[in-house]
Amino acid sequence: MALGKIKADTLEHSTAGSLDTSYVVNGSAKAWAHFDGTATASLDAGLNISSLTDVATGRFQHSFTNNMSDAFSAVGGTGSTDRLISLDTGTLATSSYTIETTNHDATFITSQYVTSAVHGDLA
Amino acid sequence: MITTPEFQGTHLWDRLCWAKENLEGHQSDYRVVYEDSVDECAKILVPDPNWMACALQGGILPPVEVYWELAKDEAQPDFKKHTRGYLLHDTKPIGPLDEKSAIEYLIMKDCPQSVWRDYDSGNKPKLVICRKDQLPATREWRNAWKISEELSLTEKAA
Repeated sequence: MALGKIKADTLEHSTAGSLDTSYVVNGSAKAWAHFDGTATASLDAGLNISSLTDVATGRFQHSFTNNMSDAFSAVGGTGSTDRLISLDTGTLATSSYTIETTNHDATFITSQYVTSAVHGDLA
Repeated sequence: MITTPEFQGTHLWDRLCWAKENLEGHQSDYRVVYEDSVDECAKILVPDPNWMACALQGGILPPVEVYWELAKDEAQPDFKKHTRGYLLHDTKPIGPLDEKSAIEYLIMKDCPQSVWRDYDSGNKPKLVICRKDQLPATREWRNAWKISEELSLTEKAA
C-alpha cells in the first residue's frame, strides 16, 4: 500500500454513474476475523483484531487494535453447517465484541469455521 | 527486514492495512489463561498473528496506555462516543517488542485490569502464560476449566 493520498469526494464511471467516496469509507468493514473454534482455538486470518479470547464453549471475544468510535457497531458472522452465530449485545464495547455459536436449540456449541465482520465508525 | 514508515500521525487503521500487506503474520505459540470470576471457567487469550507481526516489527502500535485512556472515557456514565481517538493515531508508536514483551502488552490491553494488576497476590494464580501445547487438546468439559494450582512447565495449564 502506497502511503501517498488520493483525495476525492466522488468516483465517476464512464457509463454506470458516480459514487460518493463516503459510501466507501463508511461502508467498508472496519474489522473481520476467521478462526477455528474447535480444540485449542486459533485465529487464522483477520484485520484490526489484536486477540481472540476463548471465553467458554461457543463464546469468543474479539478485541480491536483500532477501537470503534461507539458501541453501536454492526456485527455479522457465519459458522459451520448447522451452527448459528449471534452477537452478545451485553458485552459490545468500543474495544471488543463477543460472538456466540449455538445449535438450533440455542445450546452453546463449538464450531470449526467461524467468521465475523464489523461495520461502523472507527475511533 | 522491511522498514516501517514514519507512522506517527497516520491513522492506526491505515497502519494495520500497511502491515497486512507488508508483514508476514506470526502465529504465537503462547496463550494466556486467566480467571476474572470465581463463578466462571478460565478464559484463554489467543494473540492475533497480524497483531503479533505489528508488535514484533515496531513503529506501528500505540503505547498500551492509550487504550487505558480510551477505556477510562468509555467507563464514564455519559459516554456516547470517543472524542479522543486521536490518541491512537497521534501518539508516538512503540518500538519493536520481543514475543514475551508483546504478550505482556497484550495482557495489559485485552485482559481486565483486575486480573493482571495483582495476578500473583491471591491464594491461587489468576493468570498464566503458557504454550499452546500445555492446554487440553480437546474441549471436553470446557466450561469447567480452571487454572491448575500446581502448575509447572511440564503440566497442563488448565
